[in-house]
Amino acid sequence: MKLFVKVLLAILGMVILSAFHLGLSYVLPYPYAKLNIIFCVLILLMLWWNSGYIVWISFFCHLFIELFTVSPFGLVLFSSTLGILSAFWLYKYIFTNRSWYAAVAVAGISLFIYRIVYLFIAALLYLFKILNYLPLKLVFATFIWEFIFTVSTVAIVYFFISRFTSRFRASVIESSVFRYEKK
Amino acid sequence: MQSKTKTFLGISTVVGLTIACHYLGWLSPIENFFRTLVTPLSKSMYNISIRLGNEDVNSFSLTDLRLAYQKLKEENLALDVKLVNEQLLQSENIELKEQLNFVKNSGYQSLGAQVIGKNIDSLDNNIIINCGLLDGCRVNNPVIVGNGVLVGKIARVEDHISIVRLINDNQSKVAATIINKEQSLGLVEGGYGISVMMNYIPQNEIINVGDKVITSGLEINMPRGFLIGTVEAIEKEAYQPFQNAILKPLVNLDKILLVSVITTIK
Repeated sequence: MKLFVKVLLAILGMVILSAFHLGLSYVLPYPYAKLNIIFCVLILLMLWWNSGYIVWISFFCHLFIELFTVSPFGLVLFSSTLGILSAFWLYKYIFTNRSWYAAVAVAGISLFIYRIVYLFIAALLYLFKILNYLPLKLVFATFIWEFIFTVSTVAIVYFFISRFTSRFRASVIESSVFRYEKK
Repeated sequence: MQSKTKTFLGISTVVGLTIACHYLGWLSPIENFFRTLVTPLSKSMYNISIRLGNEDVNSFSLTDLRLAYQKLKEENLALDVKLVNEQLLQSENIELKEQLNFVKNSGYQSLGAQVIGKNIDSLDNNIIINCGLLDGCRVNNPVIVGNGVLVGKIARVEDHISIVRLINDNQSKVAATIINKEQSLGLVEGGYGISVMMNYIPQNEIINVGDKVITSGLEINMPRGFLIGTVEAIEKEAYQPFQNAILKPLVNLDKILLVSVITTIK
């Protein structure tokens, strides 16, 4: 029963997050509309939870987003899931310290990987004549704005949350052997 | 390293299977369920965006307000006179329409639909409408607003929703004709921001700024006569066989709320 409620709440949360992402892109004027709220929320959640579940949440959120796009099914889904997976690996193995600049680096690099994979698949589809054209300029322009606003939002939100909780502070040291909180 | 490869392959397999299931149609019930969940939220956010876009946020001083009031009073008087004239014209118009039996002769049926969202992917410039396959919408059906202003064509259709490719989208192509002396033919293409471009107009034909552009009817599923826009600028190079015209769409394509889908063309 508890698990059922948890799953239901998770689905509801993902639907709301996807709808919020869609809604913000309608409400905000260009170029602010390019803010990728899903990436922002997922990266912050990843830093909060320390868990790889975030990859699956990303998978479902982008699956919902795919339902409202014309581009070949899977283009956004595959690239974004890989983007978030790379974010998780970056956080786990490279940017392991909890700081706003680590969050910014994770967000920036994962967004970059997301768009690179996106372009790579789009190029493949173009090669196989599934796509009629390759929107290099559009994707580049989108990436620039997306990068600026998403990374800034992650940095600002991270900074504010870290004022109220110790979870987002670099002073907390965790390892498999001990857990130590600096006073 | 091995575990990372395994994770990567595992996730890729799941994504691959999802894509395969989508194209095989096995995901349709789940997709429709989630669309039903997301659509109302998307629709209300879209409506908010339209309302916000229509609001003018200005602050005025008292003198500005007095001047504006005076101006509005004068405009109101002029509009009253105009209204009486228009009422006369309207009754004449109704009479003439009845005589021409316009609707009967136009030969197409339409479906009303509401815009519930727009595409957020960087590849396309589309809107989502609440009318789908089960309502009679089909791919390539023209989508109009008002009394025949073309806004796009249906690019993808699902059971209850359709995605409309707007005329200013990169992949949009519409056969068109200019209302000028030569009735110049050309192809209206998107991908130029808020404007659209009419290409392949023969070099020797005369186009003027302000000329109206309509659909030529030289393509399947697209009747002649839907308004597309007006000529805003002309690009003419002496050594080129064709000239181009930059068109301004007649409606703001970012602020569409209600559309009609032309489903049957006789």
